[in-house]
Amino acid sequence: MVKLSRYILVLIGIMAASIAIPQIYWTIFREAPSVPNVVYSRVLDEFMMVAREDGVLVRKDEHGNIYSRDEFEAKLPLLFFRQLFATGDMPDTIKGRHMDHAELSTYSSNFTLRPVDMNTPEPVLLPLLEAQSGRVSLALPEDFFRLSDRIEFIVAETNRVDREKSDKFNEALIREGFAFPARLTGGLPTDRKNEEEGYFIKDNNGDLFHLMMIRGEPYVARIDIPAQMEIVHIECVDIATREYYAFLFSEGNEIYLLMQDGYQLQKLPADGYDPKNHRLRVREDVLHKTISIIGDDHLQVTVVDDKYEVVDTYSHQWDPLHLQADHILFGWLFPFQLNLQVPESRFVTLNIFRSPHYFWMLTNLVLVGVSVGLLKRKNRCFKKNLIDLGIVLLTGVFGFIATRVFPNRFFD
Amino acid sequence: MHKAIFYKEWLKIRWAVGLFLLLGLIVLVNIFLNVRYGVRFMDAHDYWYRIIIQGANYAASLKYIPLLVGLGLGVAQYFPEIVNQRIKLTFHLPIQENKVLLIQQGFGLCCLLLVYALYILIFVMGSSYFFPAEVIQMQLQTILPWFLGGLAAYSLTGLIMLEPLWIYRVLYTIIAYGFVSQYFLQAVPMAYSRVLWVFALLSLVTVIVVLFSGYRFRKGEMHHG
Repeated sequence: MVKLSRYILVLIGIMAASIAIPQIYWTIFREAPSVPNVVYSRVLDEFMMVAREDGVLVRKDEHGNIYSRDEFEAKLPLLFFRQLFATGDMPDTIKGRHMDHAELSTYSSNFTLRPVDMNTPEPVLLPLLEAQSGRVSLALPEDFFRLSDRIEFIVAETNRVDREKSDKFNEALIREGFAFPARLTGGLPTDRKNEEEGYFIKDNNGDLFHLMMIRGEPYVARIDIPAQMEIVHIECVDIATREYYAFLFSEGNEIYLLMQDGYQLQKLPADGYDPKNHRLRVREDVLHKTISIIGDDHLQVTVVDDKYEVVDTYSHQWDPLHLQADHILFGWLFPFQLNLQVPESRFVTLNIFRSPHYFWMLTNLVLVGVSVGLLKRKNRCFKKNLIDLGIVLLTGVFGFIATRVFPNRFFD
Repeated sequence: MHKAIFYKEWLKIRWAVGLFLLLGLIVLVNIFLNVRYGVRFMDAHDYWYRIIIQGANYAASLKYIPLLVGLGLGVAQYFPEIVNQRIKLTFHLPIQENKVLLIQQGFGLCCLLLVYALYILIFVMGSSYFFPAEVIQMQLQTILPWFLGGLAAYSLTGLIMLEPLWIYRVLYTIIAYGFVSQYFLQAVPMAYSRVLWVFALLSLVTVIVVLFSGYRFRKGEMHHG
């Protein structure tokens, strides 16, 4: 029992050490790789980018020609139109299209989805806003709804279910063939947006539905999706063009736009996209959409026109993280790191980051040698400390610390 | 004999238990007065919105109270024992030393869990008056790590206090701090929901770590005596 209590303490020691010590290490030694910001120029018909090179911000095109800020912005009128209009440098037409400030503003949008956005606790209840109140601004409703074996609206003031409203919405959902409970919900539960478009809900059969409240009445529409398509995430947008409601992410890592026109699906070119590891950015202007997929060591950009035909692509690779000096040094010092909080998730996890190199094996052997030396000096029995030596061999500096702080003196 | 040990332990911690019950009651009453204010005098749905959608936590002021109770009961139980090394007397009782320690620790643990249970009961009752089941579940998943952290802190307090050498007390404290602080990470509500059982298991196994110090204490005695 006493021995067991010691091993529990050693375990706690290893956990605490393998969380805290690497954290200190990274705050001192972390080198963040610089990710270029890539945009498409309709003037040059090629990609341009802003990148940090040796600590200096550099603006250049695909061929490496360097630009000053003003030159750079002049080549990217669709992106910097506000600045160019202000200085009077905005061209009247681009590719035969008249440049209008209001139209450019409407079409200009930016969407980003990071791995963490898919890995976050979902709200337990949701507000369904009135979509056509006749008022200019949206307002939060008095109640929140749950989607269990039926839909129920709970009034915040009284903490009671609004039977009448719940029945009405429940019937409307069942009439359209909705199978409770919901498996996935996407929406923008906020009153700080232009329009209320309600929620997109995947039911228990995997079918997709659109739920809104229009003048107090339920609006439910069933959305046709390909039978084999399994939606894993829905990310709604509030864009001024009202061209599409949401981004749909399928199990096969495909990205679709759910169009406002007839709930059609429009596939986006995103080969190699992995939502667990990549950041997705979709930047839109009046002539095209730029889809960027950004990983740890590479970047892939695709430009499509307003018919979603691919105009141009660009990809760039840089040194993978494990070749960086900070990762190599880490590989010498630590066999692993315990991460309870990772940038890819808002959940607390028990993520074990394995060392990117095997140099730590040498360090561990040295520590085992030191441990043996200490045993010899104090004339301890070598055999009875074999488990401790094994712990040091496997967990390195963490196990060395833990077995020193909670010493093994049972056999003296 | 067991009864007598329980009574001795109760004498040591009864004031602490009473004090912490009172403290918890004050904090919880204060929490629900604030909730009541939010629901009545702000807009109820705005208040719900802040909790359900924006992740505000109405129980935030409870966060370190379970930790305080764990530390407090641990100190109340073991401080009298290390003054003049009185625990020696306990070890001279005709019961096996480890068993005595486990009985002590078990009794303290029961009192601790009783205090926690009362806190959680009041919290759930108060919450269910203002919020539906989903919110209560969300809150429980958010506050449970704090209680599990308090439990681990209680066990480790016993370990640190019974340790005979000061240098090791300091080392244990550093490790204990690193470990227990993992229960109190800055995170969104429900963040621990996927690993709650691991943390529960870790808290549970720490209950017996006081045996390690007890063993070292006895060993130390033999060396000095």
